[in-house]
Amino acid sequence: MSLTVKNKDTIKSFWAKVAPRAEEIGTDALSRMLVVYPQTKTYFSHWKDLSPGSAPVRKHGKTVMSGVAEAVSKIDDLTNGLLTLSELHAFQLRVDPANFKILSHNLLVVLAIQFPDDFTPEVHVAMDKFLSAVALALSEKYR
Amino acid sequence: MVEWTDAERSAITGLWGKISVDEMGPQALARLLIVAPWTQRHFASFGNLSSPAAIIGNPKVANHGKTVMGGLDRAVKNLDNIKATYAQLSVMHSEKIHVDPDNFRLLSDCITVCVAMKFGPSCFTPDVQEAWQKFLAVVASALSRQYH
Repeated sequence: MSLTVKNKDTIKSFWAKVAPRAEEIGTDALSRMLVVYPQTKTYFSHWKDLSPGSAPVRKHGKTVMSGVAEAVSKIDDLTNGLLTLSELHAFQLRVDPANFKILSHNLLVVLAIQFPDDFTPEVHVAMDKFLSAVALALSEKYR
Repeated sequence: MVEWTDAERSAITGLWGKISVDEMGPQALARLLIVAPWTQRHFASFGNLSSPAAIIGNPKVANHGKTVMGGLDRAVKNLDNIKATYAQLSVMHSEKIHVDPDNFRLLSDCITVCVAMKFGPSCFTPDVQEAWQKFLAVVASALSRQYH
């Protein structure tokens, strides 16, 4: 299920609209993930406040979205482009890769909310494929 | 037995009350067939599914979308007994239609995206999303229950 040329064009043009609101989108996606999938809170026991829109959630939402932005810029070779991030997730954070799917889902929900006119089925499938490809690249160094 | 908080019950029934099955059913099913094209395996008789435009404009897809989405009504009206309510439907999905239960999750996610787009951030808050996704997960579980 690799990204076609058309998928990549769709992703890059959609991302141009997303980028200015990246922090807000990242914050909302993370907030929703923590509420809808409470098992994900286990990775953030060191935060004082896990409620939607809290300071640590906001800060981390921004971090996550800059990772996604990096992935967009390296869309032609995600595996090599995201090696460092993969090492981080594999050796330090040790996030179970099943959670990448969960966060991806919440990102898609927020994109749908924020871009009801742009998030057509074609954009949806391209973004879903992209986030799956990013998840795969992030899992690269796990074992 | 599933336990629902009062907040969850009211979120689910509140959302359902605002959803137009005739509008959202076709959208959700079309989105499923586009985002997860392997699900088209069940719809060989539906005619032209060759492109997103064809799928969105296909009247059989639209009709079936209304049927499927309309099926959720019984679950909303029987929140405390979804498993029993859907026992027959579960047998049908397993024995007659042979649907991979993972498809229930895929369709649920497409429905959630359509609901999110329709109702926006002030209505579809994280708490409402939690209740809605929990509801769809219970429905999916009930539909998978009679598989063997």
